Amino acid sequence: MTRLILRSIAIAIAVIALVDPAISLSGSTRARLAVVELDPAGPIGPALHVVRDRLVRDLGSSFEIVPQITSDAAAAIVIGDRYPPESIPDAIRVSTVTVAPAATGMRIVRIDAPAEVPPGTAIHLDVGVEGTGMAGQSSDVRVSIAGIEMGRASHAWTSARERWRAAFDAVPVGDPPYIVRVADRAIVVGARRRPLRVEIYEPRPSWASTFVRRALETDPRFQVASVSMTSRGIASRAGEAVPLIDANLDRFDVVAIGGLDRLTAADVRAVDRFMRERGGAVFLLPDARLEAGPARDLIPVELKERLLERPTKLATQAPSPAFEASELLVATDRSPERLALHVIASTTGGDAAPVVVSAPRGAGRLVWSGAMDAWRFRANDDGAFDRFWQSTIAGLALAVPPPVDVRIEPPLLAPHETGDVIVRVRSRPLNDAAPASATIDGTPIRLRPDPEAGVYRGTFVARDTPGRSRVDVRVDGTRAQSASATIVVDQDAHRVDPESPAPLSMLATSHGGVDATPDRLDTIEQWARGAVSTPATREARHPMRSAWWMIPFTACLAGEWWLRRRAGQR
Amino acid sequence: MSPDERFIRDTIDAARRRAGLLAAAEAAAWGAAVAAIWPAGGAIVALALAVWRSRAVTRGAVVRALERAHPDARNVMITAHELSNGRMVAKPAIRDRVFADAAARARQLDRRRAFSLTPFVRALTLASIVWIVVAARAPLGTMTRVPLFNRLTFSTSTATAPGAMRVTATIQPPSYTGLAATTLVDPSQLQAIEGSTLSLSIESATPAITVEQDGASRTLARTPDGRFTSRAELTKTGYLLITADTGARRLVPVVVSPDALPAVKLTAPGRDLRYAAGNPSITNIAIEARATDDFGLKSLALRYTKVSGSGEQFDFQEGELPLRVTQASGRDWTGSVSRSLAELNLKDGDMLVYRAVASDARPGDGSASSDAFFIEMSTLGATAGDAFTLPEEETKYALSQQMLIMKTERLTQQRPSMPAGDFNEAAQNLAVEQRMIRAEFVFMLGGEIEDEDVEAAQSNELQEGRLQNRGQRDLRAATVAMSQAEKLLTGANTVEALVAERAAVAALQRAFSKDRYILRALGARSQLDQTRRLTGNLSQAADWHRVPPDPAANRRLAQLDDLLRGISELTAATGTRDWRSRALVLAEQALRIDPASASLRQIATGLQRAADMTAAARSSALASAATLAAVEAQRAHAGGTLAAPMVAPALRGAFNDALNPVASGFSRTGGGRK
Repeated sequence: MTRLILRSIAIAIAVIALVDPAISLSGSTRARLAVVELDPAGPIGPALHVVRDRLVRDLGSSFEIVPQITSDAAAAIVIGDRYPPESIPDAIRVSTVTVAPAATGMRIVRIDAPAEVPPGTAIHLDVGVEGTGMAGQSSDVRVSIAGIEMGRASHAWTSARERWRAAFDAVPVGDPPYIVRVADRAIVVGARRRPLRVEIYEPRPSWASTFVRRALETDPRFQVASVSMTSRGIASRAGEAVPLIDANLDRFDVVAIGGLDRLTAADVRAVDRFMRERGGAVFLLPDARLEAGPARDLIPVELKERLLERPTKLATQAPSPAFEASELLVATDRSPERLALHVIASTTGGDAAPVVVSAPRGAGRLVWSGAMDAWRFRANDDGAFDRFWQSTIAGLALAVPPPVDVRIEPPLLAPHETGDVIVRVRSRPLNDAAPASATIDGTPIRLRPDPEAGVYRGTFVARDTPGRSRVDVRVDGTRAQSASATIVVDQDAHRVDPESPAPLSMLATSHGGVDATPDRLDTIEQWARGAVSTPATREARHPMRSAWWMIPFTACLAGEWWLRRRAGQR
Repeated sequence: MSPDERFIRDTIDAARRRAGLLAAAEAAAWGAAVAAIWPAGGAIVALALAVWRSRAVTRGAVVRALERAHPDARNVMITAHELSNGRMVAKPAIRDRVFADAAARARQLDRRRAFSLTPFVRALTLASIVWIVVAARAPLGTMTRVPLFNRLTFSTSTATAPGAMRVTATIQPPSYTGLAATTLVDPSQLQAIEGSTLSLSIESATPAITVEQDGASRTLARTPDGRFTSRAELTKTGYLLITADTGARRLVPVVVSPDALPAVKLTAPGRDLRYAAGNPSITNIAIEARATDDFGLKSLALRYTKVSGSGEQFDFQEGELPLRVTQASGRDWTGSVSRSLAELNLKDGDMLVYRAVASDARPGDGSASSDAFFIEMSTLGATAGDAFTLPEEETKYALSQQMLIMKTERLTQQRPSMPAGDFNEAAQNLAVEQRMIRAEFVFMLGGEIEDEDVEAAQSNELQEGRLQNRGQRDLRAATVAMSQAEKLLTGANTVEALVAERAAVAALQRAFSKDRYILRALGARSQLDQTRRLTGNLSQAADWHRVPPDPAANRRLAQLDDLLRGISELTAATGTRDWRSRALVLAEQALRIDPASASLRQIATGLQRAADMTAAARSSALASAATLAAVEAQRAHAGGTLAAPMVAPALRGAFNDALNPVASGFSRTGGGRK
């Protein structure tokens, strides 16, 4: 009987294995939850660790905790003190734990510096420093390039929370782009290789524009072309100057115009196009009161003539030097911010008024100078007149976009950090909308068109070792154009903290989560348990495919055989 | 302890001492061999070998070595050693027997066989060979001593330690200064007065020395006393570069201070004097002058120029008044003289311009003069005014106008006694004279007269506006005043004409006293070329292509940039073998940029100092030099550029247009103000 049972069991196992039946099972799995620390190596890194450890301890049994956001993460908890620089997919639900920033200390909140400088030009830096809980103490800010100290400023803090601005002029050293280190932060400043191309246009001879031209002609950073209509049909030219209505005007970055009363409506239309489409800068240099006329229509504010007995020194924006003038055209609008005007020079005292002003015009800028007779005092203050115009025109010329502008965001990267390359292609005809392509050190970068016409954006990962990489951009079409940019990868790439960082709670609000402080982590845990559902699964299993069946199968056969031999059978 | 056992023990101790000495010597020799190539490695090798060899100096090892050297001893030494240190126990009789046999063997032992000199000699030989090879591979270097290991090395760099040569510099100031000579040994910088003689005496083992002073090189030959000598006159700030044949260099900045000219001042009366004509003998004028000099004065005198004459004809007579000189010291003199107007022979309308002149003892012209002052004789009281200190050439125009004023005043005074016709004719003549003065003046300035009214209105066209400033305004005002005076004189209105004429003189004085213009004095009155006036042919006018001059290349900027780059690389390379030579090359480069610049000399000195410091100490000296170089480079750079506000550039303009209906309307309509 036993033998029969054993034999039956073995046969049953074999038969069922041959049939291989499937069984459906229902159940649930642990959801994947990302608990991410922002800037764990920063000053609040230890506080972030404490929060993460507790969340992992409390939620580890219910969720599979991962340290970064992955595509299959059900939700994320981000721990930090500000909105993260990296984008987070909209689909994922995110809660945040906002850790208060360091209570005391000094931090660099702003560094204003040119994106690039021409050869032989100092880099002017305006540094904003914030001190918290530093009253009674003093701080030093040191600026260095290539290991050489370029300047140092000291400040004694007087209140618990205080802002301080310091200005530096640093000399570029080494190969561009230059890494300028300000205290423990760093920025990158490029070098402008192309000359600053300026056209001086005079429908009639004018001292105001003549002496600006002379100031630029003595400066090797500028490539100056000029045309001056000295008589009817007779002109004095220098360089490759073209009339304002000529399309080749786009080769210039800046156009400075004197003798404004002789400008025609066609000239003014051309100038307006130059600013809006080319993105160029136009300087209007009147030498007399501007009444009605095409040129007057360019200036968006009312101007009033102010004649002084003695020349007055105009207050200017650093680093442009102050200069003198006695015959002024001042803007009467008392609130230039209303028109988005940028006051470059103004009179001082109780009746201070803008004199040299710039205003955005399309993609370009318009500047007008009401310092009509400043040229008379050009020898004063060690040629302040020349230096003012060289600094001002160079600054605005540098801001004029090239045909293909390549920008890297952020310009200073740590190894393996992700960066964006933004390509702006200027003023191409609509029927010439050719694709742009980019490579980084020969490796292609995928460029996506932005909603803004002519703008492309791509993402890349910085090299794994400190050094420099080169991004090459090529725009095809009937007019093939190319441009390049250099990326600096630095191990100590501590960029400037934003002056007023966006709060981290915004991330929770926009991603359907909650924000809490470290002492209210139970709120986060409740959210995680309530909002993040454990996924239910249904699974088909084939139990007979297990190799373990070999054991009972073999045991049954062996038992049956042993019983048979014991009974004397074969 | 038995005598035999003690003997055995002493024998073993002696063998240990020998083994220890030989091991130490061998380790040192191997270390020396390695140190010829790598000093730190030599020390490591020597230490490692010494530790390794020390294992063979233990008593057991020594006994085993002795047994190996003498196998016929049949381990009796080892047995005795083990009995001695208690590792083996035996009956006293057996113990005594063993020690007796061992002592007998020990007396026959040859320790040199057990501990041979051969390994040490081998290592020493190899070390010698290595050192010879290394020395032979550095034929261009000089032998210098490096403090760290006190080893002899050979440097193949272009700059070597200062100890390679000893420079003695003797500066002999010019004899007239009365200063003694100074002698400096290995100076970091030389300071001397212009004209001093520099004598160099250089001690060096090198066959020849080259001295470069301000770009000019000369090779010095060894003198019989074994030194190299040189002699040169110091005339300007620069540098000395002393180079040995072996490549050793020494750079010494030379600062030459010029001998300042004497400072001369008229202390009394110290102002212009004006006298009405009368009895000149009663007026006595005391003039005092004071002069100082840094090294000593040679003379002090009072020189004058007497101006006399009328109309356009002036006589200028120069002379000198002897001073009674009092010398407070050789460097501080005062002089005085007193003269009456009669003694000065000044008549009505005459003017005496005087100044003190002092000279120092330098060869050539070392004279300087004080400000000039006037003594003027005038019955009419009309003078050039206070502080009338014009140079003589420039005075002529003011004097011409001044004479016109005097004539106008006389005519005004004579008017009651003159017939109207004669008065009008005389006034017309004066108007012509005024016109001529003005025409000559304007012509001299480069302007042309088209129409007086137009010219007065458009007077900013003078000199293409190049010198439009206060001086220019004054000149323009003078021209305008002359025009007005001419008109008034033509109308026989002498009273108002006088006002205009005086205004012209005042404007001229203001213009000239500011030194805005350098006037071209006309020896004789020149007539204007009427044929040149408004006679151009416009039909031949054509476009002109102007070629602006190329901006001057800023060589200093490029050199300073290169220096900064070098310092930056040096900062990053602290600790490299050629650091010192690179620092010295940079020091030389800094000095060559501009030896006259104090900061560049300081940079060079700092770099040289850093070069001679240890690696740990050099960073601060290098940082100081780097900061100075950055400051100097910043002066050579153009100032920073204006930061253009570029927030959301594409939207900013549209935003502005939306705020500014004028601009946007203009854009849409293509012109015309709404």
